[in-house]
Amino acid sequence: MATSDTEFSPTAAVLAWLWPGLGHISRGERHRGFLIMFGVLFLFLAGLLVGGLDCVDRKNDRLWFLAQSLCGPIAFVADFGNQRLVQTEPIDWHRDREARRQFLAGDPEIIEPLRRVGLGRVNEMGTLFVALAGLMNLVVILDAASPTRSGPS
Amino acid sequence: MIGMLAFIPFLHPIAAVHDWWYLLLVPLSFGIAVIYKAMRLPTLDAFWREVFVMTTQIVVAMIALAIGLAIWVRLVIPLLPVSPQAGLTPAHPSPPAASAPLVQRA
Repeated sequence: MATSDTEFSPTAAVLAWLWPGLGHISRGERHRGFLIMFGVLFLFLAGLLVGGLDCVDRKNDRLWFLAQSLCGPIAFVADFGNQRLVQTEPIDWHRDREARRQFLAGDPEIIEPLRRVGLGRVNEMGTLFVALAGLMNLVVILDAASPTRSGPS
Repeated sequence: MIGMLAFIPFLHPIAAVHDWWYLLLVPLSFGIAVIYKAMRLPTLDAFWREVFVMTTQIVVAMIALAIGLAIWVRLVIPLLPVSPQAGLTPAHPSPPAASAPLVQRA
């Protein structure tokens, strides 16, 4: 399976999308593949750490998600978690008196979902980290498909 | 009460980042440098040194860009003359042109 030459390999491209770095590992460039894996996962996890699961949102941030989806299935898993754990039913604060009372009383049942939503720069930076991880992984996918460098790794 | 609730990493956003978001440029540059150098270097012997150099280059370049833009916006742009054609009212209106018709007093 290892093809360390520069011939076009669609299998390596698909593997690189499935898991960052796997395309280079399949070409026999193990060290390079693990470094790429470390880099992409570092950006991805740093984004999730800063912005929480809310920074990967297929429904509300569709354009950003286009870039984020280039990270592979992990982006879809993060989005699934976001839709299940973070995106809850919107609360009508003007009419729902019970929700207002619970909020003012500090009820965790209503405050906990609100704490999961990222706002302002926190959400922006988390979204940017994950989107950049995806865009860099696009370059990795292209490089795994047909590498242009020469020399041993 | 809100502060007493436990922080769960990767689920809750880090609210404290809001005040020092610009420091995140360092890990952002580091991640980009790791991926780029892992792809482009022919040999990975001096990998981490190259990553350090590229991270420093990005951070320094962004700081220089920020300083340059701050100088441009705060110092240079206020010195530019205001053009009447731009639809802005000048602070001191210019005198009427010589060809303008004079109004005779009765």
